Amino acid sequence: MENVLANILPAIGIVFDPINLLVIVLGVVAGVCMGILPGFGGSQALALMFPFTFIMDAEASILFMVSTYSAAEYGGSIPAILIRTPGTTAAAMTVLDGFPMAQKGEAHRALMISITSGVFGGISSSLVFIVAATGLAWIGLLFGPSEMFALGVLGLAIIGSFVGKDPTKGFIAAAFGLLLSTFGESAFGTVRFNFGQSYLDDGIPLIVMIIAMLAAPEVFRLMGLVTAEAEAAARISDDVLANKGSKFGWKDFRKLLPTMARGSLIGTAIGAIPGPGPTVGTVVAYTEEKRWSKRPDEFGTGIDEGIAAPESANNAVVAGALVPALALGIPGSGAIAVLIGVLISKDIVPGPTLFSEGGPLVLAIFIGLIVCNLFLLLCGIFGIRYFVPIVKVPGRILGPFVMLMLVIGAYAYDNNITHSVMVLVLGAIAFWMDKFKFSTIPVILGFVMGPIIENNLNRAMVITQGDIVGLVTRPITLTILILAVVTAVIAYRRSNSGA
Amino acid sequence: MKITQISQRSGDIAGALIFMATSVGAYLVSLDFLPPVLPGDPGAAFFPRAIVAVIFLFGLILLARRLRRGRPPAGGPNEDPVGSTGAGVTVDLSSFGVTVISVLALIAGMAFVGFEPAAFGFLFILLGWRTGRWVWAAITSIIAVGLMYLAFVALLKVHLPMLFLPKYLTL
Repeated sequence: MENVLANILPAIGIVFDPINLLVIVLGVVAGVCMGILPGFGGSQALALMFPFTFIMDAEASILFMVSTYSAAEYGGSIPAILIRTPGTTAAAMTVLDGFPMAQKGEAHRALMISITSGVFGGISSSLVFIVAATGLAWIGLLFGPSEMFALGVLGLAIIGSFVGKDPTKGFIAAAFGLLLSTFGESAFGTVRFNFGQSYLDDGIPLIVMIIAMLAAPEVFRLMGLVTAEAEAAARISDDVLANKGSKFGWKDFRKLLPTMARGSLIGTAIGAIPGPGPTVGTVVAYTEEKRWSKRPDEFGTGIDEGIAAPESANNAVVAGALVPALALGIPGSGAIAVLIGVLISKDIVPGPTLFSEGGPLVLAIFIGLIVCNLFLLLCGIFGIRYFVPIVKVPGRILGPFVMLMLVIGAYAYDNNITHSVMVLVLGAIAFWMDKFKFSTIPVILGFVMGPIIENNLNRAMVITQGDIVGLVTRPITLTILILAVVTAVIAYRRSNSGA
Repeated sequence: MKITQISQRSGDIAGALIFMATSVGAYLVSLDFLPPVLPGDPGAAFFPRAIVAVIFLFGLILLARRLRRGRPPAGGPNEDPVGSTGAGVTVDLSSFGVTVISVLALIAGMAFVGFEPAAFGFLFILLGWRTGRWVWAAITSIIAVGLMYLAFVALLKVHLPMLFLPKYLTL
């Protein structure tokens, strides 16, 4: 806690640096625009924006990406409310009450509830984040290499188990990501899996993996939309631009406060668990709100609580997911893996030591999240009419532009054309994996976690003189590994029961 | 466009076999890695081999589960609760092929001709083909290439292989 107090002024200084404030605004605008596009969630937005961090310093990069992520999660609710097409999967629950409200001629009110609840969720979870993450990092400092190795395995077990319906596919995908992370130079003075190709000597760049695994499947799908008939017609209520319908005011805000508080709490808690992500967060928040409500029958007809609960949970997930990512180095979702990738690309290693030795950066992220949510609120209140036309952009037109961005983004990392080819090859693999329900999120998480797991395993084995049994039977290590096995067993039982 | 239906079960079996073959191939490659030199040092091959063992094991589990359940009855209910649906997966191979070829052409064009003509050709052909509005496609492509040049080359300092734009447009 002393660290927090000592770093608070430098952290405020970082966030309120004019360049960083500009970067946050740009992140918010880019995030909302991308979130609006159907199929583009937080992770896709971050993958596309990653190349822009190459010219930024560490603080600006992470603030830009956190703002983009937070704004993209909000942006997904705009098409959900207006045209019944959620921009992100997490916004699917917003459709249930948001669209009927828009149909009643109150689209503007629905959008205001959405932005207010989202910002409330984002800010309140940021406050929880700093307390929870500091505590978790303190526990993390007690861990040695074997415990960190086991923690990495647990993270992958949770993600493999719960991302997608079939844990077997999740584990294969996570292991595939781990395998790809071993390509190129190793700590053993040897180059692995370069197949005689010099461009593989440095391994597969993280930016290539992020673009290929997170953005490419959706872009391949967009490229497949050739005719206008393949798309749903975008019908947008004119009420949004005309600002018709009943106004959303202070009285409504106070009425929805308990709903937003519950949603935020659920979102933060679910966000902190690796795997489930914002989609599960919004589903649980909506279901719980319906259970708590005195008028559950009205859910689905366009009521305020039906929008406020999932929206506050949706944005609260962002800060929640940052807790294990920054405190323990375990990314809980594809988007968080990108954020960790940004930190690693700036030579900052997430984990317990980031809190003790990382200076004001962690606090700057927390304050940056609050500031970005305030910008998001302004953006939502005053700028919504300018974002609405993006909903009308047809996927068949969008596809070629985004594909071009992917190719250039991969090239931009090292001015190397082979990286663009790698994106095409790995992107095609990701597209087919996605088609056959092998989620690509565990692949990217395995890729990010691979070096962390291997380095800790190697260090632990050197310490124990190669005694693998002695390594895995250390009390905390064993407990964490048992938890990993229990997680997998629960996932199999769940999938076998068809839940 | 040629649309093909592939059952989820067939896709899973093919996927399991591909991953198992990948793991076997990776294991064979790992035989050439340097052996450990220090006591307790696991060596360069230890971690990759542990991973390929995991891939092979879960590939085998996936294969066994799909083969054991047998082929679902035509039009019957989904008998496999773990991701298999009777409806199967819709695959548009020609559209996928067009995407791959057009991106390969873009990359080759960038490498051998330059960014501007390659990106313009890529956008112009795909947009024109999709909308049927060729003049609009040409204008949009020119504007998009100009904006990308400004964003990536002028602002982000990416050394894209340019043909002519830097001679006329610099910041």
